[in-house]
Amino acid sequence: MRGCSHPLDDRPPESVFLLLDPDAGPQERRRLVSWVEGMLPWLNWRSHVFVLEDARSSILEHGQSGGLEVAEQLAGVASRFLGEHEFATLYLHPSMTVRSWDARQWVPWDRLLAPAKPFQTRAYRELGEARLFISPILTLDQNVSAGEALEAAEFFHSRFSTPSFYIPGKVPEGLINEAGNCGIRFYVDPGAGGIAPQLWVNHVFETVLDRFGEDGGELLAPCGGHVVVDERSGGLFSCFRQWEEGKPSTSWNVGDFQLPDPAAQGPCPECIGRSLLSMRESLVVNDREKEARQVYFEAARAFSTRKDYRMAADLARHAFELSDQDEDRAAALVQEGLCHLNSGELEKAEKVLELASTYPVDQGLVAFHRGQIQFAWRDYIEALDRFEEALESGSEHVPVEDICFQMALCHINIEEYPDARRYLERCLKPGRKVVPVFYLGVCDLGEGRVESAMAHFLEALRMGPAREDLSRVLFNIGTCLKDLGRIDEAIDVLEKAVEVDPEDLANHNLLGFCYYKTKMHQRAVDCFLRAVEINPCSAIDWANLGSNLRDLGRIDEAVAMYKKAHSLDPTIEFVRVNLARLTKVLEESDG
Amino acid sequence: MRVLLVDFNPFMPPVTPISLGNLGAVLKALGHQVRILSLGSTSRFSPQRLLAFLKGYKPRVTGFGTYQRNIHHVRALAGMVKQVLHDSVVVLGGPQATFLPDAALSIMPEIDYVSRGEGELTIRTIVEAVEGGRGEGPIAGVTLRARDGACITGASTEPPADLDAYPSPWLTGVLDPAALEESIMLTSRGCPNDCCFCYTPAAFERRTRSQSVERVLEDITWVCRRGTGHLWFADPNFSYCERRVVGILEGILSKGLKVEMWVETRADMLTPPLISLMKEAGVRSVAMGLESASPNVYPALNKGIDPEEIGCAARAAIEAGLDVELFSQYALPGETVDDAMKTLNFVKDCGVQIKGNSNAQQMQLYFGSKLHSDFRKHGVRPLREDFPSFLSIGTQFETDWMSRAEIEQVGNVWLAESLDGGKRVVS
Repeated sequence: MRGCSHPLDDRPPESVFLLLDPDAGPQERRRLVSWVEGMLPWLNWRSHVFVLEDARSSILEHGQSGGLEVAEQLAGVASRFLGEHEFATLYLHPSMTVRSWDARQWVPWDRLLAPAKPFQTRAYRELGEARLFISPILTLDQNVSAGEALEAAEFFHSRFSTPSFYIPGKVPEGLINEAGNCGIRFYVDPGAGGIAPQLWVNHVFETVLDRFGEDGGELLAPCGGHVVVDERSGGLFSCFRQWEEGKPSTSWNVGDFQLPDPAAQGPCPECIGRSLLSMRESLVVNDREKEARQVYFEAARAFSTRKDYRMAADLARHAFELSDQDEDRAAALVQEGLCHLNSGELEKAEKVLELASTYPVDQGLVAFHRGQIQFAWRDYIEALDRFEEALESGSEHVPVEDICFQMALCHINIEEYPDARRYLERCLKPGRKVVPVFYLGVCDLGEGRVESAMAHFLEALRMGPAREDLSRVLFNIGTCLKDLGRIDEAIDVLEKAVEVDPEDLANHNLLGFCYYKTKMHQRAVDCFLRAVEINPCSAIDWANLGSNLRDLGRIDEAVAMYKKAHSLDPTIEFVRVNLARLTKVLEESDG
Repeated sequence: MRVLLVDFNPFMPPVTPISLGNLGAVLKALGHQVRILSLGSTSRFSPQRLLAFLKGYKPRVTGFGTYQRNIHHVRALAGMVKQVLHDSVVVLGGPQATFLPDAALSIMPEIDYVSRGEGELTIRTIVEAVEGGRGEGPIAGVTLRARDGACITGASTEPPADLDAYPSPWLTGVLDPAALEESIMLTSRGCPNDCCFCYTPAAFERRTRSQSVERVLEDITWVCRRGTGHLWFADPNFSYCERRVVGILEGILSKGLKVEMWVETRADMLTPPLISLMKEAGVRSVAMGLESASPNVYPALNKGIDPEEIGCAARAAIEAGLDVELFSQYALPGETVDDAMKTLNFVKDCGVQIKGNSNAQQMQLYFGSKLHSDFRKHGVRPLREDFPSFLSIGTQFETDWMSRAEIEQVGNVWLAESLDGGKRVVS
């Protein structure tokens, strides 16, 4: 928002969806209308009231008119309310059925629109806004032709009312082409799920679209702007999702209107994502591809930030398909590719990014991410080619240090330590950083230069590694100390590593080994037990358990551990030898 | 005394209520309690909540910023104030009020006073008169309705030559930049030029008054420290005095303030050195009034500046990396459809994108402008004779050169060229 917040803002509902019960009697209807009248002053000063005759069913029964009567009564109620509150504006949207060649239906339509006329007259006289807008949502009865539908639309247009069409299933031929030119909105519902769900997803889309104009507005925040009133259940719901789940905030038919608690809406991102995805057909039919692309793309980014990569990828795909500019298509593809990459769908990621590379896009960025895919596949040679490509492109979007770091990791994985060191040094040109320094140590260690490795790891430790990296740094210092024969010091460091990350198997394994070397077998046993708890398939840790139990004189248990290790990996030589020897010992003692 | 000041534009998102803030600062300095409501199209509030607010705050005086488009909503809110608070007085201020015909007051029972003079002075005289029980007599700078229904206009007021005489809405805490994404600054008033379509020459008698460089810098420093540093200068002619504008920009630089600014200026002031200084100081966008690029049209507007000069300034600013907006209008006196198209092409040829304030708008006839005072002489034909007296002709006209349909046609051509669907910010 560019201006001031104001003290009146209690986030009143802007839209009310009244879901009528077709079986309601006149008395119940009067009560509902009266309740709505009491609710109007609590709504936003500019609000929409939808009167939906049959919320779930897509096809309304022939001749059904109960909803129209309610709408008529509500139009009267709205007229009175607006007369008392002359700064307010109300849009009334009754759902109505258009029947084939039945001019009699125009009589109640005229009656419905009558309360808006004085507002139109005054607006004309005083050059103002009409303030009461009755804009029906028309559903076509069976056998209604496109021509008849347009005639119905013209009926409303000529009375300064803008209708829309709810179209379940197949769209009548010619209707959209002809009516689209008149600015009529369509709610297209290929699955014929019902008018309320259609309005639900539309509402979500419009809410998200509005948020683009709000500085700092969170795209996936609760809608918060609508309430659903279900006449059948008597429930007042804080949103459609709550209605679908049957979780009313309160009951509408007890006492005065109470605003439902928006906090009761629950997790909204999933609802927003699902709604947006189901909107596509309607948006295309309404010639709103441009807005749709924008919403899908921004929503994809928002979901990506939340690490909901599947939803983000789907939305990005829609953004791609609805784009008519190559730049937009490329951006959507990169977004989608990244989502697949982050969710581990590597083949999809590669396919999408390969396609992205055929568009006018930052080729270096695409190459970089394709390199990451190859890296994840452990094809380090191919990954290096991609990263090299990214490096040569001079991309503005990928820092050179990031590319060099990835290249260094590739070289480390194929044990080309001098090359790795060269790229790590480039990463360090702008200034020394923990991670490249750490990997310099890894290179040293790979080349057997333990002293130099430890110097790098200690430097990394002094620089204050991130919490998630601390355990790795300590582990490597422990490794160096162990290799240098400074086992007691190694134990001190590794105990800290275990404290920092008790879930890292390698820490337990190495600490257990150090205990073994210092003949603290019981402590070693504890370490290896924790290791096999973390990974029950770790043959070497079962074997280490065996060796320590053996040295503790617990031969039966040692044999059992060796057997376990052997079953998991029969190639470990000392397991095979010890198992044979100890089995013999046991047999001899039994004998 | 409790005073409520309201700005309600139902057709645009709310903006910093800088003018009401200025009034609020004056009242606060006099020891009055002031609340300001800035409401717009995206503001959410229910009638019930508004009612509760009014009953709770109980303002003795309620003032409204009024212009052509919001007057219906202002009247409705005023009616609500009167209904709830019988002894509250309602004041109309703003551009619509300055030259509002007296006859309008007689058909607006919900309005007590119409502010004709400078708001800072008239709000003070009104509050003092109401407080002293003199609210029914003549009040300087104000028109009121007497008990017999006649309109009484008090003596005119003489505004101070130096705007530093008024307290700052920022420094007094009446407006809080921390609550704003963008702060509007108003550091000078009036314009020495005499454009026939503009209300400003009559309202300010072609005099220009301004705050000192020091005062402007003091406000900017505070706003930047508390807010975002996004500044939008609402001065009708920010760079009318080169020495002053250079002082402000150099002051921003020497204080090391991080700002992004939007300013409106005349093209003849926009020299290459000034453009360079603007860019360095943080001006991101400059807006200039073009109005029309057709030689058949612009001489009669009294703008006194050649479109070619505007074009040169626009290109130079764009080249320097500034965003440029050109204000233009259509349905001007003497303008045919072809002339209007020349303007559109001129804007495009300058390299200015058709969006935001560069979306043209139909000329509007407001109370106080030369065009409105003598519209027939300028070939303007109102579409009706029976305008309510509180409304000026606005856009409800055609001209001797363009029919209503042609005016709409020109509007549609501009809309088709627009990159943002015609979302203009400034009217």
